[in-house]
Amino acid sequence: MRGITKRFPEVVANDHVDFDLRRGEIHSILGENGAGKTTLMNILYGLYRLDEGEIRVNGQRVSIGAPKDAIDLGIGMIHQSFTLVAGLTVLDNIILGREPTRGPFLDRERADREIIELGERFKLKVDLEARPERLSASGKQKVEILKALYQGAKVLIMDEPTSVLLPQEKEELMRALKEIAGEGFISVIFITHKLPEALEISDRITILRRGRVVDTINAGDVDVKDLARMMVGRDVLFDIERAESEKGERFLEVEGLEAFDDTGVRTLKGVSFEVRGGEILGIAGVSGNGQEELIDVIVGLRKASAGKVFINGGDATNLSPQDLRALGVGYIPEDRMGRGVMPELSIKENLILGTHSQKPFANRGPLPFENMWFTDQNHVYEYAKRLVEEYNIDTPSIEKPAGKLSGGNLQKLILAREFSRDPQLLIADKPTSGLDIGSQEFIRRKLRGKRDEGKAILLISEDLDEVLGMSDRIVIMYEGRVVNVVQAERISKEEIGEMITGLR
Amino acid sequence: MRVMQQISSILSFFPVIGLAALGGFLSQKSGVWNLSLEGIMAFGAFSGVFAYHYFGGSIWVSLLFGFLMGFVIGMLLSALTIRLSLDQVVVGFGLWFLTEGLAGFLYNTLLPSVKVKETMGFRIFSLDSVFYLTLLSFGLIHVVMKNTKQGLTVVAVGENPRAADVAGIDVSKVRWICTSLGSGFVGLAGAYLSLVILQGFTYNLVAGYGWTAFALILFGRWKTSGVFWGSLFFTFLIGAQTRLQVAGFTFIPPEFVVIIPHLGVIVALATAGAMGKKAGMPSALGVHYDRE
Repeated sequence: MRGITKRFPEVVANDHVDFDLRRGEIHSILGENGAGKTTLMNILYGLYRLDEGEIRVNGQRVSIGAPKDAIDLGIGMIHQSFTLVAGLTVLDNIILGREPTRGPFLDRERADREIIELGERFKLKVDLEARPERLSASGKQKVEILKALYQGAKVLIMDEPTSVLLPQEKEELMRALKEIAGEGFISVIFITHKLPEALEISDRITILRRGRVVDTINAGDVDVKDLARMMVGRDVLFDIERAESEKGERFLEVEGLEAFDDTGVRTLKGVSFEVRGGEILGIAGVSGNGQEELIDVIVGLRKASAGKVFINGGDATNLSPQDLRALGVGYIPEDRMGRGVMPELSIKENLILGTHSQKPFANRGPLPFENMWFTDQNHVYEYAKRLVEEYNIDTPSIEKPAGKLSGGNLQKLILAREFSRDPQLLIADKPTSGLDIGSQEFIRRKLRGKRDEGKAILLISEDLDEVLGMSDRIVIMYEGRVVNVVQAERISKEEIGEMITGLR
Repeated sequence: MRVMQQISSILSFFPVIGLAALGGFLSQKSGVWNLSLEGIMAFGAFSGVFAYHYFGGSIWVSLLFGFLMGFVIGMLLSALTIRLSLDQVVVGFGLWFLTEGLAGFLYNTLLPSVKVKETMGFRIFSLDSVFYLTLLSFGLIHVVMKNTKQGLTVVAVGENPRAADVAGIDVSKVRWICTSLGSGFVGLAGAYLSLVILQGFTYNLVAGYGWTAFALILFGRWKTSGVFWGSLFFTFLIGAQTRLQVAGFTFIPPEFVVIIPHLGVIVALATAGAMGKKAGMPSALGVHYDRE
């Protein structure tokens, strides 16, 4: 790819980008969110039209106007959000677009044979009769890889493939990709913003920043610090100073809490702990060990089947989210699009969500009723404008739908809204997952700031470095129970790793 | 023997409901609401009689013309919703009023009064060939949906157009074809109603059959077999209604008899709703697809 340029109405996503890929290599594209990685690959896959530049495959200049052209050229892409059809079997999903037929009918037996062969060759095992909606993220990803290979891909584009995987699944994926590239005729383009991953898997790395190529280098020639500098454009602080803070009153206390998950299984089996003002209590654990249900119960989205929640000493078990928020609970959910914002509403509207019917955003105008009737648009506008600036939300307009924001900016929006309510307790569920380094740093600093102000923070994270670096104390959860509560400075990452997997 | 005759005579109405439901079904499977069934049927009914009067009095040519005009309206519906990405509900209602009104207006101005004298020749169990053609169409679409590349493509487009696009499928093209072809079936249903059942055009002849067909798609949970059995069931309900009227049960006001099929629709939809809200509905139904 030479001189690729793509302009969107408000931004130049790719500015004369050069990129080349050798046969059989794994080539990472590294960059922060919004650096133009995905745009570049969408151009290669025919989803976006390029404004300038040219693409050559095997020396031949090609024009790729639709995904079909890319597939015909042997380019396959696995998107960050999976593109599988629910309701069809895994087999039908894999053959979609390149169906083997016998006469007018589908030849599912042949497809079955060919896919199993392919799976054995690259050590990718999937259940062909299953429905994709029942598979785990890692299962779906395998189906997507098989689909691309079945369609004859010689180039496999993986867009942020590890963001949805657990640590051991990550290893498995890395192995599979090395296997595929190792045969020497399939190449892999690996899009990521995680530095260690790029270093581990790649032969070469191309770094993008704000739509431009910073450099293309051999993975063996650099270390994490070099990469970070190239990616962000300045030195990055990996460790955050932990200042002593005054421990305040016990703000949240849970006692013997139990709850069921959506399928009716009791996944929370009696959890007790407390969070004080001025401290960050980390909860470490592998997803699915009861943390989701725990958070749901504390924020009022799920009923506790046993046990108590106390806020500021008062019983707050099974109160509604509204009542809990009134008591000073703020919530930064993991599912930003689904729970954090209303994606169709504007940034401005999302910023006042929850307080929109209260003063000063609403007033009763000239009407002689006590209830609030009108939103004060000028006030809302000024207020939103100020928050957007204060929290560094990168957007051309506050009228844009919140759903159009990138992950980091979306999280800043949620943070801005929750912080501006001045909560006494903040529940931050994987607040930095999937974000680029710059946004991660910003969000961690903000959370720390709240702690130093004397607020209580409950931090849930799978990133052990984050839990260790941020928390004062750490609660370790395994299979719905608290297995240990430790002081953060007295424990190592390895010890936590063993505890959360049940080895200790 | 009298029972058999009664049954065939009731079943002779099946193509009207069946073809209309099948046409709407095809379009919905690809992700496009066709809310103009009622109007397209009326227009098909007019077109059939128009062709009968002007193109030489062949029933088959007239039916085909009804199909073609339905197809043309389907292309218009596609152009407005797929190409210009207008809201499918708004366009659907607009086209319903337009085509139904146009059918009545054109009939009044172009065709003062036409009486169709021809009847369908070929019969088995005193049912004509269009009846068997309808059965065949159901069977064919069932097999296509389940066991062919084309069917898989349509289902994928209706369920997850993004996935289909990424797999190299032209989403718009598939929707164009399904919507237009489906509307053709609906037009054919209307032409059959005017040419064969009523032997002429009258104002407001569709009388809610289009909406009945629409409800049957929902009732049939977007499965070919479901739509088939539903259509058959409602054909019998409609038959029961007309026979009760003819038999002259004077102790039941005629207005109540007329609502029987519609009552059936409500009961069916309520049952379908109780069984689970949207099970089976194509996930991308009514959602416009755009790449960027």
